Amino acid sequence: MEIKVQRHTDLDSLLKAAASIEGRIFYLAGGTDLMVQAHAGVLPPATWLEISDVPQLHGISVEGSELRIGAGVTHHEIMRSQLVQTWAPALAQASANVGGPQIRSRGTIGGNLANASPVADTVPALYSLGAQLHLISQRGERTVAVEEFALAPRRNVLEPGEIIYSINFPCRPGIKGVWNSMAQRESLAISKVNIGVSYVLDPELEEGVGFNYLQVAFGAVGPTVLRARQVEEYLRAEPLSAQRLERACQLAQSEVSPISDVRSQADYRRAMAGVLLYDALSPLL
Amino acid sequence: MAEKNFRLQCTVNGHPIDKMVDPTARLLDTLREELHLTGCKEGCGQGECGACTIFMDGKPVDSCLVMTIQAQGHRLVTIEGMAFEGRLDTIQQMFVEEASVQCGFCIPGMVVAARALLEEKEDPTLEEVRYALGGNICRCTGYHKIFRAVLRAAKIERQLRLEGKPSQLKDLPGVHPAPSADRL
Ligand SMILES: Cc1cc2nc3c(=O)[nH]c(=O)nc-3n(C[C@H](O)[C@H](O)[C@H](O)COP(=O)(O)OP(=O)(O)OC[C@H]3O[C@@H](n4cnc5c(N)ncnc54)[C@H](O)[C@@H]3O)c2cc1C
Ligand code: FES
Ligand code: FES
Repeated sequence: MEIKVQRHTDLDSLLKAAASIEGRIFYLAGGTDLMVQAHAGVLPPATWLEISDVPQLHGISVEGSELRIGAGVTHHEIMRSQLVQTWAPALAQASANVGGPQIRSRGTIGGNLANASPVADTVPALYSLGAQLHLISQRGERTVAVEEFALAPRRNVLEPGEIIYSINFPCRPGIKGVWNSMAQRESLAISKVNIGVSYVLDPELEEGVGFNYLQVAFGAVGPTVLRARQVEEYLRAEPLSAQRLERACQLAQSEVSPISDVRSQADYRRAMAGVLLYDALSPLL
Repeated sequence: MAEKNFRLQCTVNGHPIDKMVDPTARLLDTLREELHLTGCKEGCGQGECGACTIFMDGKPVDSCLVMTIQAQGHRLVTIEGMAFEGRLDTIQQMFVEEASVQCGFCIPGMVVAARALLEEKEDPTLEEVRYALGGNICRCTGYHKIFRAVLRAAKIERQLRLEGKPSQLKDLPGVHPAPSADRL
């Protein structure tokens, strides 16, 4: 396969090239998806723009009351970041479970998102955190909610010449989170179903456990990652009890819409969505 | 074969490299075919097996998933850079002593991944060793002797540090020009 590649080490030159190139463009970040596909010979002819050394795509920082993660930040950097562990614990856990060490050293959060894969492991965590994606092109910047980014497997809202610039979300004091998945083995396995839960407990509540903030999302159980809104509403309405958690798990099972494929059966995925929710919240009981 | 029209400048095992190469080749192929560093192996070519693991800026990466152009300006260390003047890295020495090697194909990658762990954690648990080697597949040994070698290497290096000595067996004679961390 014929590959043309350009290396960019500055955002301006990258966006300029992205705007002017005719035909298909791939942005080579960690390469952990692209290089596998190139090796398999399944990619169309394209110009590859190497972006792993563009400084503006790096860095994790708190800006005002928001956590900003550059699209080129690696899973290794995310899992090790004190800021992410504090403000986005579900995401830190998700990145720690992507691939193995070699994949985490290179693979980026931007690449994980851009694939628009329903099984991408960081995405349920980002849904649960209510992340906003900053997209940039030579025409300017815009912001889309992470939930609006993926349209279908492998299809996203990026326009020609546009890239993911950063992932931002509010720093919510007291935020806790859980990320978990079911897969064939611990390392290097694609999830059969995964979950991201982020919550802030209600400190006013004298007895029991209530939520000031709660968002739940499942991956690999629909064409895109899916927010479990019924589950959230139900759990936010009244303090948590064993009975209410069980009922929420049933709701989760009816809210997801999995298919059967090589990795798992629809019924199993549906059942496990409930189990993952139970495992995530039962420690609070 | 695509054209060797890219001037690659980086360091490999501490040596500056300045060479015309194919920028679109996999780094694995550039290391093996152009630089003749055949320690890194191709098992799967898709990031699953870790046989091609090298250090890039001190972190373990699968060289089959890195495009050569991405190495520009970066610091690479292969298994060939881990022994020092013929003296083995502590981990290599322990692989020998624990008889952790059968066919040997996976071992360069295992050693690099294990070194990455010990650079971060001097007292890893078995669980942590398993996690750190989760990106490396061995089809011969069943892993137990590999884990044992890594845990033993960690113990030896901790002991050396306690005694105020260089933390690696290979550095013991004390005539080396650079501390081990600089070579990663
Ligand atoms: C062995 C192995 C195990 C894996 N395990 C997991 C796993 O457990 N969980 C999981 O979720 N994934 C896993 N993956 C997939 C992959 O590692 C991740 O999706 C990773 O985050 C991809 O990031 P990257 O930087 O390597 O992407 P690249 O391969 O560099 O790019 C992927 C796609 O994203 C686009 N892109 C990259 N950056 C941007 C940007 N800033 N803006 C717009 N488009 C962009 C590219 O054009 C390309 O289409 C695994 C892959 C391998 C090979
Ligand atoms: S050859 Fe690179 S991971 Fe298998
Ligand atoms: S020793 Fe043969 S693959 Fe590990």
